[in-house]
Amino acid sequence: MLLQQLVNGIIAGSVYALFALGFNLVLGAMNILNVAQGAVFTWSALVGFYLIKVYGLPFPLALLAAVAAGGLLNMLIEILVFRPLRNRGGSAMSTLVASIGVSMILISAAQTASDAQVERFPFGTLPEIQWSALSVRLTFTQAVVLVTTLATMIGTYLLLHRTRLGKAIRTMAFNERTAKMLGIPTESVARWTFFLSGALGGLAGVLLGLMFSTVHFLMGEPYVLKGFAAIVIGGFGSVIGVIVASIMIGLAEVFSTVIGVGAFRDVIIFGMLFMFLLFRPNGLFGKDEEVRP
Amino acid sequence: MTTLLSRVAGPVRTVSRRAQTLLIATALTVGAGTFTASAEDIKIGVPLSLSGSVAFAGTKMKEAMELAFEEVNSSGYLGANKLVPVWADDRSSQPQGISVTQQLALRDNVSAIVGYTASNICLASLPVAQELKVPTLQSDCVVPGLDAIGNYVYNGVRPYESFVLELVDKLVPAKQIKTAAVIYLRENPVFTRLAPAITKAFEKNGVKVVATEAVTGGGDADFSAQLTAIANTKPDILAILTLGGQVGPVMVQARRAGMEKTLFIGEQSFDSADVRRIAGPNAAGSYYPSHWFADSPLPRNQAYVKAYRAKYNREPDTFATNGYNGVWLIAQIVKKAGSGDRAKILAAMESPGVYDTVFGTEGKTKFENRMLTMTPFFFTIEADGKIARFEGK
Repeated sequence: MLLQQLVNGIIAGSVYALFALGFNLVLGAMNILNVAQGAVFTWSALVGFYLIKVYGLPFPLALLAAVAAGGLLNMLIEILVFRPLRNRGGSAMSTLVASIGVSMILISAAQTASDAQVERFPFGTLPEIQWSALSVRLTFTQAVVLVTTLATMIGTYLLLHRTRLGKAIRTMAFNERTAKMLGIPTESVARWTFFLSGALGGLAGVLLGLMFSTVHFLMGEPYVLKGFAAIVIGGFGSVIGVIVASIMIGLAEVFSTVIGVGAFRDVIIFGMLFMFLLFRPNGLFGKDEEVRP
Repeated sequence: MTTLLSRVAGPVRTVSRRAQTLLIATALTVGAGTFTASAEDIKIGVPLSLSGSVAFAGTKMKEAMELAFEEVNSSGYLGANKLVPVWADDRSSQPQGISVTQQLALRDNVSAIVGYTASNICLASLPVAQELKVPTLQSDCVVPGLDAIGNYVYNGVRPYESFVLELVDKLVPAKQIKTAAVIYLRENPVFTRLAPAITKAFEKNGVKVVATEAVTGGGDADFSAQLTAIANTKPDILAILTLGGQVGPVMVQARRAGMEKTLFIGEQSFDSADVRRIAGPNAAGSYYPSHWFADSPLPRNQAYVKAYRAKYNREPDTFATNGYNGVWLIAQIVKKAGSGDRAKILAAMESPGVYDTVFGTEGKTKFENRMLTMTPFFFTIEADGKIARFEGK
């Protein structure tokens, strides 16, 4: 059973990582805690679900479309909400409040669109295959989730560290004014940062909906807090940190059940978050801010 | 309209439909002999969970209640008087439930309240309705104790606990169950009370309860850790005590975790087309009690199901039916009262009487200790997804 729970924890954690990576990207680069990421996650899952169920699109195409929809929706939020606030010198608090508002609007719209009903991706969206070895069961869907997540994590890391866009995002994360002085088109970079963040959230939404056989308008809610916990524990702006922290959270959830305190798993996770905030506020992989005298 | 009309449609089948409507409406109005002649719009407060985590049930209740209000008003059941629903969304939240109850009672000055979706909201809101002296008929909350709130609060459904325990008594010997496990939603009073009750019922029947796990509500859909732990104990039966939106995913994940042959037992939340749609073949081997089922041969039930399908192009479920039944119950009470006066409505509720419902084998029922009496049916979901009556064999 322990091995199976280990697999469960890694899979759950890897989906949290996808969500948290997108969250972290915007927080790191733009200093915006975009709570609406949870609603983007939900909307992408709904788009994927309707494309498969209503229009009969094959899963890979529906996945791509849902990921693009997540990216575009987040980009739209940036253009319509965050950019005007930034241009008016809005504080971190005003962007946080705005993102809560956007989140509520999007969740209400998702409720209306879905008629508040719980849905699932149609049976046979992915082959119903299950492998079993060493008392561990792994479904084809879980394998797809693991491979896709791993590939996306590597892709995100490479994008941030090996491409011009990634370097621009990282420069903005360091300091937006410096980025402007270096000739980086910050508005365009902000737009693409939001797109990437939404796309990652969207990918997480579809994969999670598929894996847990559920798509509904509140599905993004628990992941906002978990994503935030992963960022704090992993370290603001650190891709590796967020991945490691997300897996830690997945494992903590699972093993709280193993040791018989599953009812308190949120207490454990947010207790961890609190301890990090107190004793290691930069997280596992975060760096101290350098202040020049 | 057809539902109520069908109750007395037999003797007048040869009369045209329009004439039939008029005849029956007149008969009902005159026959009751208590209704006032002047037309009155009687405001009925309808608090429901139309957004938030219980919206999946509240929105269905609203659909069926709209249908029932239309039927009551268009059939002339209350003579020239009309029931005017005042809808309110409690957003699946207790504070909001209290707030909308106060608004309906004080601002909207409704004659009576019918509705409420979630048991925890009933627990918070019904004492407020009692305090404000508004005759209230809750129509979907199944947590025990609501009958003790006070004389203004009546219950159009009753706690499922006794039904589930009765099902355990039938199922254990029939399926030779030796071990059981329980997974329950720890944030809902219905399930936190039902979990120990069903555990006791299993033990009373000589069944060993090998695992009990709790899950959280909201958007949480990952139950793999709890179900892996349960699967390791290889239970013959798993009690799934969660909201309807979670039941299907729990069934799917339970099968994936290795409980291929394990039977499932649950309560009202099992009785939904959504559960069967989400769980698909994984729902086979599920057992649950219900006070209603769509195929019940009661003519008024058949008329209701037909009207609901025609209006919404989908199957009604228990939530919808509880709402529908609640509106027709309040209509019958208002008819007895003869006006929208709160004191008269309360007096009508308190006076003994038999009510027509779409529930049970007879349809006719009454209030006992401010709670509707009901006879449960027991059902099983078969391999092809069809529902069959379970007779204890």
